[in-house]
Amino acid sequence: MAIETILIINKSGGLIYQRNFSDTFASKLNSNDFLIIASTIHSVFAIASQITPKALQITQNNVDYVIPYIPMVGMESSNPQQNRNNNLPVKLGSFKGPDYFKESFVSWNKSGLRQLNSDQFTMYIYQTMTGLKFVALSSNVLANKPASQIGNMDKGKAQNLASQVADNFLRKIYCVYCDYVMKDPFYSLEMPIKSELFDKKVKQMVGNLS
Amino acid sequence: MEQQIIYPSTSDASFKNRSTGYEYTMGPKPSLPDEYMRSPLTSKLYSESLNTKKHEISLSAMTFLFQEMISQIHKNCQSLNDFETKLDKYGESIGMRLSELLNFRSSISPGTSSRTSTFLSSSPVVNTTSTNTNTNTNTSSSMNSQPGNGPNRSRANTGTSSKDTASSVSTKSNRTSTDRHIHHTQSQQAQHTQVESLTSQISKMRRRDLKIIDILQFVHGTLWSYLFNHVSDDLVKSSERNNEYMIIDNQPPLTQFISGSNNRISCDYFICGVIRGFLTNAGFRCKVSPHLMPKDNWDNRTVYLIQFDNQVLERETIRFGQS
Amino acid sequence: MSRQQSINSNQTGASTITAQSPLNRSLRTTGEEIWKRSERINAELFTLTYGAIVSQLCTDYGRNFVQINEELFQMGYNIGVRLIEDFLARTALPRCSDLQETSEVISKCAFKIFLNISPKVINWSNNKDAFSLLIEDNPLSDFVELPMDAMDQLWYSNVLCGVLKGALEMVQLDCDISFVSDILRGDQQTELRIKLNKILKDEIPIGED
Repeated sequence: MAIETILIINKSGGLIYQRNFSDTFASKLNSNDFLIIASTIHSVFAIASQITPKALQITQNNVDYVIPYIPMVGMESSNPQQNRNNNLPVKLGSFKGPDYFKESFVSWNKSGLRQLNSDQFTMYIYQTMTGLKFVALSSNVLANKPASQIGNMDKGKAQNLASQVADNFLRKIYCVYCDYVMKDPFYSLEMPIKSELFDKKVKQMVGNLS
Repeated sequence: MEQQIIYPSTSDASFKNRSTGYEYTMGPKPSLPDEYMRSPLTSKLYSESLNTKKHEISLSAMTFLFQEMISQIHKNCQSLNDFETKLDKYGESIGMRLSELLNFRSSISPGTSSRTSTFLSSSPVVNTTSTNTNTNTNTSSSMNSQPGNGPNRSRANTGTSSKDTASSVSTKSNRTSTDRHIHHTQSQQAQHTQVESLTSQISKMRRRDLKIIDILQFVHGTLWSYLFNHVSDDLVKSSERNNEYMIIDNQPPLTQFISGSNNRISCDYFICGVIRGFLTNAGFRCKVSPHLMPKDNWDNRTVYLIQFDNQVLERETIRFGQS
Repeated sequence: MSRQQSINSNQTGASTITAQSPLNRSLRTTGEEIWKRSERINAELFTLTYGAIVSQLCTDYGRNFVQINEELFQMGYNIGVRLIEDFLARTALPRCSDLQETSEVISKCAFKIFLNISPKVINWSNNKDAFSLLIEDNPLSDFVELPMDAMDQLWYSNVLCGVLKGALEMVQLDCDISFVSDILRGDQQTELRIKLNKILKDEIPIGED
């Protein structure tokens, strides 16, 4: 999965972080457009949770919100140069490697928008319990995926897998956010993130993904 | 009143400005009217050993506290210089304490330390009972030695050898409950203090470091291992200036999440303060400043530049000849 | 090892309060698992740093301990609103169904992950809207003795109250949090009280249900 753009939206719908990793969206959208997109996502997300079909709400107990752990999404498989000593595990800030987490987890986002497919791009949203939204825009359209990755699965299953990969990935961005944004004394809450360290880490992880 | 006290002759101006802490020329002074009337608090401080406990907390908790400390200082400071000085002072107060503590801890003779670990892994049921008796013994012994000196009671008790503490249980405590368990607790007590008390494990105190290079080795090795669980990445002498040395950390843990290399380097003044406090308290007056010097993959590689006062160099020349 | 013991006794104590022992066990395991996967640092450096902060406050506020308590609480609050994100990212725990569950999460996961201790949950109020945490081996106050003038007023570890206040508020729980007693003040035990005022329902993020 190639990610073109990452957005972080605070709990009141303000865009606090936006990075393009390719020209796909950067060439078409300016920073003002992204501000509008952020607040639109925020609203559409809320609307979506209101229009969840009644049938689904009634049978909600049967809906599985568990996201399986997919190992090493967005991680560098081996990176001996980053270690103090080649035998030590990779340093991941305050997390002990090799991965940020290693168990399945339950999504906090139960009725809001999680995935949006179009002919041009796919959008994934991960919302935290505090109301932060981590959004990934990918130019991958499922139909274009090579058969080897989809195998015999039908499109629905492939979508589901992509969504799980995205949830795993975005939770890791959340982990990186906790280290390089929350633990930075020069960051003010709810304000745009300017940390170059955070930028670097996100960029690395997006790079590892493609 | 305070002004009239004749201070010991010293040229150290900072000595006269000390406002907080125990003023030994004045003796203990009560800060509350009824302070002398109170029974001394049974603080577990005196029964506790100074031995390494190897307790750990998460790096997150530490960095969150550090982060908040920085933003408090940052909020209340006038200039960058002011900020760095204040942060340095916080570090200094820590470094000063560590120079004594770590010297004690490095004096432990090698054979005894293994017993400590045996104790820690033994049955924890001991803990509750021995804490109680500790409190008892502590009350009696501290009342005996220094009745009601309040906050200024000496810390000598910490060093009480196991034999003394154990005997004070048997002779001074008249509580039946304690008596009943006396044999039981005594052995536990003995085990507790004998194994845990720091002094009981020291047969010979480690000699104080007198040479610049020795004390720096101690900072590079012992202090760094204590703080960050590994020795510092390098210790270098400046080729240009005689009084300059450098301690290098490839990846300073506390400041690793702070954005902006200038901000980050300013926050390293905390560790500078620790080093400065440590060295100054050991008799090596110096200035310490951090410098960002990325190398290879280490973007955060930080050099702590230590500039010793001339008097330190002069002393070393007189004592040990030309170095 | 002694820690292990206190957790075990904790569990027997808690099982009389909450009937959901499987939940307890899994929360404890979660806490321990995540603690194992977190980077750590010497607890004494933490103790000393906090000590430096408190003593500096004592100087700055001319030993006005009431004000120092407030200041420590405020610092804690600032930490709490950030720390909660770290906690959630690490654990990804679902929202608690009631305050009893919250109390277990705080004790077995939060305190465990950050400070490597698991305070006992005690003294539930009759209508189950308040409880206390019994904090043993408080790493903040290791090697600390209060001077006589601070003994009656200063809550040395008040930063903890602020952290809990800030963190719980971010997950939409409005609570009153304060110390009831502290070993440093000569009390038998260190007890921290948490009382739930209300759940900030309007602020629960949309989409969670």
